[in-house]
Amino acid sequence: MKLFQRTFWVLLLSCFLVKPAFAQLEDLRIYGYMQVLGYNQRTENVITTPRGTITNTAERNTFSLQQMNIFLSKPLGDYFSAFVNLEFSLSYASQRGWGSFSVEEAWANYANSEALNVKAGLLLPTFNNLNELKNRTPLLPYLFRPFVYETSIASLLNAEDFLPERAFLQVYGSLPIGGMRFDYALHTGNSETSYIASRNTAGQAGGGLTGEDTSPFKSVGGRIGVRNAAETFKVGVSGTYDRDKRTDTTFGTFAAAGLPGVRREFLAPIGDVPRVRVGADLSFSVANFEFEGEYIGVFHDAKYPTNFRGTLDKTFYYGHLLYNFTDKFFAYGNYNYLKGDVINPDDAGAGGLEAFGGGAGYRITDGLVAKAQYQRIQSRSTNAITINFIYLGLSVIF
Amino acid sequence: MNITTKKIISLNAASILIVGLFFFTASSASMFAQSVAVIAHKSSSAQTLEADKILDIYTLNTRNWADGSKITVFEVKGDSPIKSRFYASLNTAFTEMQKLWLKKQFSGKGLPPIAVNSEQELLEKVANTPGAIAYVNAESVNKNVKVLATIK
Repeated sequence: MKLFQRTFWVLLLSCFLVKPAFAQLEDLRIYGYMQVLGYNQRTENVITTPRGTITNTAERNTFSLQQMNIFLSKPLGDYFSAFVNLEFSLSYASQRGWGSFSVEEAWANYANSEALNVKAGLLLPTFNNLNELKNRTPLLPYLFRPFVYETSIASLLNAEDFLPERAFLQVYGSLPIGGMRFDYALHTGNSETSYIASRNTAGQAGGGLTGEDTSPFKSVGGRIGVRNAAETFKVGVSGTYDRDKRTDTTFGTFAAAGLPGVRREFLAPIGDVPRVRVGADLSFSVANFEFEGEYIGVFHDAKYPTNFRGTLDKTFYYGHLLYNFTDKFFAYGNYNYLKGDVINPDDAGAGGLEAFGGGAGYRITDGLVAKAQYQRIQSRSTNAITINFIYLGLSVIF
Repeated sequence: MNITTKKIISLNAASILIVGLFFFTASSASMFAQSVAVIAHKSSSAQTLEADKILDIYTLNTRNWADGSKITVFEVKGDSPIKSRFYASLNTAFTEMQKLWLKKQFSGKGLPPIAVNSEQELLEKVANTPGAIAYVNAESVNKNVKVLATIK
């Protein structure tokens, strides 16, 4: 009898305890997407020597889960909301045999009005058009994104050399002007992630406790722009100011990666270099055409060694033109160019890399898009490298 | 023989044209006959809504009513002449709006309208949800909701 009474009271109590938990879950929304792909890659590396030309070729085929994101979203009353974005990339790639998991975003938002919003937490800062959308693969018609936005080459390209990848506070809003809207965003966060390490700016290891932010420099930036309500026209300029950590020379850049004699280690440490990133973006839809394009310039106020002939300044731009044949079928062409660090103007990769190609896609249902893409990447130099990619992929929204 | 065949062909062409014209006129008439009403919960502080304000709500630019309360948007699933007419009146299309909603949803800047199965269910949801807004065939409007605009 006592056991029965105890069970009864426990059950009754649990009803009261569990009910609020369920009530809290009512507004919680869980959704996401994934993109799987298979691709063929043919690489041709032409090296010119005094004795002649050497050509190295390689080919590989692979399948991978390029990316999967899971979102948790919850309104917290009329003015507040919370948002978490969990990202799995390159998971179970047969080629690389590894994958990664990261918390891309975790923030709370306060929406006072359209004109004033405050976002606090780990967030993707507003910079140009694509920075906030780069990982929303079902929204993007292509499988291989413009260089600096492509997460699958993160091991080759240090994207934050071009983009602010993280911020922790953003004030943003939108003001109606005639039939258009004026957008603004101001954000701040740490300078690049290489500052957040056990090694401090003086090069001393073990200077911080676990979890302590040893970043001494902050990044500030933002974007102003104009668009229409339906976002079929959008134009803006962006900028950031922070420091580029050059007390540590272990980072390479895409232009240098895999090519002999141009790695950043050959540049002597030159300290914490003030850096300005400048961006401009334009996107619009006319009839069945959609265009988007961006420019990013990275400028350093560096005191280079006297015999140094290169530059840390960088350039990136891309253009993309898409045509919708029907509501379901589209095709496109694109071009993008990237010029990374130049340590020696005579080196391979000094002229930068360019990519061009095209593709098509078909929306099978609202949540399922089949995509195909051809992309040719080549260097502008005497020691030419050419890579041809053929991608087939599927974007799934769930 | 040739003349007869030509006559038959021209007669058939004329018939097809007339029948096609009839159906086009009939379907156009039925489409334009259906006025669209933009409705809200009875407690809504808004009395009327202009087209640009409706567009701001459906593009998720505006997410709160003037009194600060949260806007909840409902919509009937699937395609319909009412849906086409409503979005055409805002100078956009449903497919365009779907793309925009996904972009906002994945950026944490808003959630798409809550989809319901029928107009009847939509009316009940709007009647029972403070801050709700939706659009319906104007002929279906009942006294449990407030009409903020009519698209004729």
